[in-house]
Amino acid sequence: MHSWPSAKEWTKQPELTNQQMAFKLHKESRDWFKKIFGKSPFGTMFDLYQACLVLGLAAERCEPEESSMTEFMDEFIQRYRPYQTTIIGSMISVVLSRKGISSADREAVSKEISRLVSGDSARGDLTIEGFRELNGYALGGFNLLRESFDSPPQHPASFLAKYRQILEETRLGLQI
Amino acid sequence: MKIELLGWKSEGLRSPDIEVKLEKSDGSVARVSLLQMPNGTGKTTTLNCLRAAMDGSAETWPEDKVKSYREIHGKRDLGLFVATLRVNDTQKIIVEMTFHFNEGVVTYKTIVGSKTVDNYSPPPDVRRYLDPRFSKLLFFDGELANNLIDGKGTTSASQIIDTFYGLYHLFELKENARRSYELYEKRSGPAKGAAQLTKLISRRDSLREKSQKLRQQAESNETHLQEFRHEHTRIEVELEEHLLKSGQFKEEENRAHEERDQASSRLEVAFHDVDLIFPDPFAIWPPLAARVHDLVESLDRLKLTEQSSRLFLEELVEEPVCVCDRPMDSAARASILKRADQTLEDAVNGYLKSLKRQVQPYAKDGPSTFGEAVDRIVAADNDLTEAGKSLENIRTRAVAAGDDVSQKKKDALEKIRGEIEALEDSVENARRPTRTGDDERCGCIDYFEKRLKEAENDLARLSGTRDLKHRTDTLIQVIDSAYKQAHSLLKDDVVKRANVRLRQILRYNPVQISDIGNSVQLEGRGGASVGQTLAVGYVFLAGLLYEGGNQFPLVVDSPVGSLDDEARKELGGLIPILVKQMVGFVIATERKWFVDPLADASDGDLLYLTHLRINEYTKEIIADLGGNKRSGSENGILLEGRDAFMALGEGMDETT
Repeated sequence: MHSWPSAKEWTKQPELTNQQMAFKLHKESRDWFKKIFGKSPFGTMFDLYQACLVLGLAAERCEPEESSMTEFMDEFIQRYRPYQTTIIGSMISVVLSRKGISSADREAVSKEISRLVSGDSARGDLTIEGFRELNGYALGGFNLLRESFDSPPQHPASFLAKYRQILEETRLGLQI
Repeated sequence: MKIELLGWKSEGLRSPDIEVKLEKSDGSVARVSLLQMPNGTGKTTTLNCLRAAMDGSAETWPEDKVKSYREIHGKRDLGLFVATLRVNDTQKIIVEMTFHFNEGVVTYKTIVGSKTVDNYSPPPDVRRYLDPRFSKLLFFDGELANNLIDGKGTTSASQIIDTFYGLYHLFELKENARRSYELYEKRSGPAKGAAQLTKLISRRDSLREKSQKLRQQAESNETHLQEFRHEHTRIEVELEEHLLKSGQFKEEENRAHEERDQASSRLEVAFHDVDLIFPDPFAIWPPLAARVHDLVESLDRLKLTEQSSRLFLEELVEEPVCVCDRPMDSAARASILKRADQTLEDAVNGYLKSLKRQVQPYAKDGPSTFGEAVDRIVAADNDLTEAGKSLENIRTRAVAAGDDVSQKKKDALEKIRGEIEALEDSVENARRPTRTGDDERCGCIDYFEKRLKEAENDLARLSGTRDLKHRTDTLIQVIDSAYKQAHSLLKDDVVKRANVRLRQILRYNPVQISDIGNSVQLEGRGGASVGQTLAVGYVFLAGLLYEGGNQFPLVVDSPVGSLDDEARKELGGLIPILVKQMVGFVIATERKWFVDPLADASDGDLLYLTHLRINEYTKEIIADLGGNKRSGSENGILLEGRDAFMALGEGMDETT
């Protein structure tokens, strides 16, 4: 006899892999960025993610994903899709360098790329490991921002000026 | 649904005994009925009784309130108020309210056609529109429309949409689901855990109460914040106008304004540029482009992007003969499989080829377009700050050189700024997400909602009602989501229709609604006159009341109140275009600048009524007023006619 599924079954959460294959930011980031979130150029969470990610990559600072991170999107949003390939390419180049993998070591390069990239563009071209690595750099960038600012940013203009300064300092090796 | 108010009758109440008929000889009702009631004629009594007759609310009036409706020095133990409505042109509904002054109660009688029921009982299809939440929209004071734009009224524009479309039923449904679950939970609690259960229930209730309190407080603070911001802008404009009157600082101020506007537009352009380039990681940080170039070059050197397909190699080992025509033996198979292992998946290969193509247009050491745009932002932002300081400086000097009025306005601005900052902090603290270190002394709504959720779950676990709790939560989520979607779609539709109407009505200087939240928000708010603002308020309300062929009477107390001449004229010309039946309660001072445009716009379909209490003074003037006696009693008279209406002296408001 057919029986109705329980409420738990009706509302069952998606498989864990879906949660792993998602863009995540530190759960306190929304609060930290609240004064500039929604204002140009930070209209979406993805813009904040990009700011953190680029800084994390520039500073080569990757921190392991932790429970304090929450997902906000499971694919590149429209505005970022044209740059999906170069964003991931930037991450690969930084990962190879950080791990000290020689550009002449075909096997190691090939293995590392396969670890990070799925090539499935509909799912962001990334594997679970690729998402984890990218989120790790975004977390590194966010923590670097928190360390560099005395208090959460109040205005986009002053935030961008300071952000640019921190980026420049990574070039000089002052902020890693 | 079409509902018309045909009239009312009162006896033995604080207002004089009178019968007001709004029907014309052909049975129709006038588009506009103006009832002039000088102070002391019982305007408030009449309005309250009309409202109670329509929504049945007098059944719950307290004893004192009922007794307060007794005529002063009156000997009658009973009072009567009868309102007559007509539904869909045919069905008459008569609601009778009997005031039992000795007992302090009101009883109802409802007559529909030939059927009489001894309580408040309008037909079900009509009842929805007579519900107090809906019928309150049919009774308002003349300033409500304006309040809807300012967001200062007690009823928000957004709530009106919920009321009109009955979305509040969704809240009731949600509340019912929650209550039913709690009842079930209470009944199924285990006896041995009763003490713990009671403790948990008490904790849950206190968390809920705290959370609701904080939410209400935040909403109220947000309303005040909006008011203060409006007030700040208003005083700022007034101060500027006042200072410019002297002319001394005019040129200097104009220059500072110009500089501020230029800096503001430079800032906007620079932000737009950053906005465009922000998704591009190479534009933000060009060294990344150099690194990706290096990566692509090494991939080329390793021939990783030119390699054979992995799938091809994997399939090849299954063949008896290799592509080079040699037989596929175990050594060849092992060699090919090793090669396949070092080969990227086809999709990954495809990705790398795409990366190679996309990095090509970027120079290895390209300029930082982001850095340049940020420099422009910083420069423009500095200029803007400087221009702001200049303006402030000019104002300070102008105030110092000026009079008390300027100083008072400047002081008021500073005070309001302080209030705004305090409210902003408070709202921000209430609306922020939970932070580490928060405890029950904090004012963060999110914190209490999370604790509430935990308490509810604990309670469900203890009482063994987890599954039902889960179902209830799911139902509540569905209701919330349905509400959000329905409200958003309906709001968009209301805005769209109101904007079309506004473009028709205010053809030469249209204002448009941008959104509906706590208030009706206008595009370019600064440019709207008082008249335009009121037009928007009335268009919004009338748009709802006449939506989909519906028609309801609009009972307005003091339609023009304290409005200036221009706004009165505009409103007078507008109301008859928007409504099908308006009953306006006015006093003599409201006639000026309002009645003539109203009469013109209603093409003469206007009923002038003047209601006076009979006393020594009025007895003398009634004969001079003229007009047709429409109804009368020992203590009151109702006159019909424009001459009598216009002839009543404004001094009557003080003398009766």
